Amino acid sequence: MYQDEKAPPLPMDEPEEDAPARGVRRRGVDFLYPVVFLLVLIAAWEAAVVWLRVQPIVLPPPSAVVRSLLDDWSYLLWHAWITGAEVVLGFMASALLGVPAGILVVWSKTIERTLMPIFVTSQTVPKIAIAPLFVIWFGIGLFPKVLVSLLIAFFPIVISTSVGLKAIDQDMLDLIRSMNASKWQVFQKVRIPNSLPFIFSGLKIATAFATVGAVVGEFVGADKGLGYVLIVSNSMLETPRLFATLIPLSLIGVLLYAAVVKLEKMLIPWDVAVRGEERMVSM
Amino acid sequence: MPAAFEISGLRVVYPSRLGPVHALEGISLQAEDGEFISVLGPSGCGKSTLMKALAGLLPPRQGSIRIYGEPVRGPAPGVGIVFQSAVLMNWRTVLGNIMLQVEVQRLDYRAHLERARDLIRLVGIEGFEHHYPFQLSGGMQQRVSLCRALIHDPPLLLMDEPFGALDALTREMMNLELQRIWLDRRKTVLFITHSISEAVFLADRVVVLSRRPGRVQAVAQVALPRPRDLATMESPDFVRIVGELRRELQAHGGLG
Ligand SMILES: Nc1ncnc2c1ncn2[C@@H]1O[C@H](COP(=O)(O)OP(=O)(O)OP(=O)(O)O)[C@@H](O)[C@H]1O
Ligand SMILES: [Mg+2]
Repeated sequence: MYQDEKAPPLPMDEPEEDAPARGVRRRGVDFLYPVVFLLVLIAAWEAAVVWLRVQPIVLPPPSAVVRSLLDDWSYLLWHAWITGAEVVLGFMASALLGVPAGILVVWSKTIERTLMPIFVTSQTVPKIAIAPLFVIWFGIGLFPKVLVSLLIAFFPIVISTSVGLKAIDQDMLDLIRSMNASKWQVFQKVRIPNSLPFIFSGLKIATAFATVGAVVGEFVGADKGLGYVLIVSNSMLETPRLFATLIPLSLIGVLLYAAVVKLEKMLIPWDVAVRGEERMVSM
Repeated sequence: MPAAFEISGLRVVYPSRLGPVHALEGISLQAEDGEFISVLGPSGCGKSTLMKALAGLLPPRQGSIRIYGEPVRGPAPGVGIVFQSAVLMNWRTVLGNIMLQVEVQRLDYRAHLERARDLIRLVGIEGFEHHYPFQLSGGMQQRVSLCRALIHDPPLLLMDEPFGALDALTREMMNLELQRIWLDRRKTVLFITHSISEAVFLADRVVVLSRRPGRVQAVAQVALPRPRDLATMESPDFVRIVGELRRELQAHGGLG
């Protein structure tokens, strides 16, 4: 953990006792805002579909989606596990490869000159175009989905890591150099801890990318997973189930994102983004 | 006893895309052990460059620099540095920041922990050992960076506008504290500042650099008795020296 061990816990989740009465949002009710907003949207959707007599095949009312969700929940859950595993594996692989790749690129100019053009070019190739190739090479199992997910999520992690490693104040570099630090010590003591907030913003972006990657992998060749359910429901014009499938799918992305945020709070409580607001004592 | 530092014929030219920048020219300067030297000069005249050269942070330059007789070829171990901003590491506590030097140079951790606590007491931030930088005011952060500069007991302390970012009152208080610490520890200090009265208040000798390329334009001896206090700033000698320095600086285009 990148925090001094003997430090007392930071007052992060403490409610403000002496906060001014007005203009303060209570953390406990924060989640109500999007929930109420969504409920209003859903109600409007239901009303519009009923009044305008829209065909359920084109746009089912939310009630039909909920019914489908309740009818098929065990079926959807089973497929959600598959997709969830692909997303998590793809995400972890991209983090495990992306962070070291970002470090290597900053460590050595030669490596940067060799790898960076390859990374950038590979980014311009649409993954959806390579995905069928993976089906030919690796079949329709778990691996090709993880691979597509990895390929998509890898890049933002490499970039954010290398940006974070380079974003050091010149005075800070002079300071550590004046201590006669070795190149490795400069990385260990300054560059890597400094890059952690950047790495975490890369990881957050990567959670969404990894989810997209797994679904794309399932679109081009699969016999299970939520992407497969989407394709099947689509071809059978079961539009309510198409919508119902989106719910566990977005839940996977949201849960992974929440896990990354949790890890961030644990590892870098000193970061401004984590703290949210400045707390200062003066003399 | 050799001079604390001895700079002779120092000339620094930075290469840059828009052509070479000639920062310092023909600088020769000596400091006795335990002497407090302030450096004044217009912005961009090479004051920070002078400090970096002393700390061994500049690539090859012309001229020679010795610290206690040793020629400076790379980062010099017997030097402590304080910058204008505290440059503390957000992810380390006060104690962790102070101990950085000890970790990097692999000095005896336990012995220096005691020193760190001593220094924390000396600069008056006891009780904040385990706080993070964001929980401290600017003045307290600068005290931490002073502790960090002193932890390995360097004979030479380099300070680059250390109080420039503080408000006037805090700054005055820090000046008094720095004097007290200096009287207590007797380091050789090179103190860069834009404030003439701060320079005079603290120093045994004030060096004025000219516009870029910086040369030593004038040197003023400050023989006021110590410890100096706020009343010193109203004494005729103090006012006279400040006035002379101001005229010296203005004659060559001001502090701009
Ligand atoms: N790394 C560098 N590369 C190129 N030019 C530089 C570099 N560092 C400083 N300079 C130039 O050298 C000159 C002296 O810079 P320096 O920072 O020493 O000035 P200074 O006296 O400390 O100024 P200030 O009072 O504003 O801090 C300036 O003109 C600056 O632009
Ligand atoms: Mg400067």
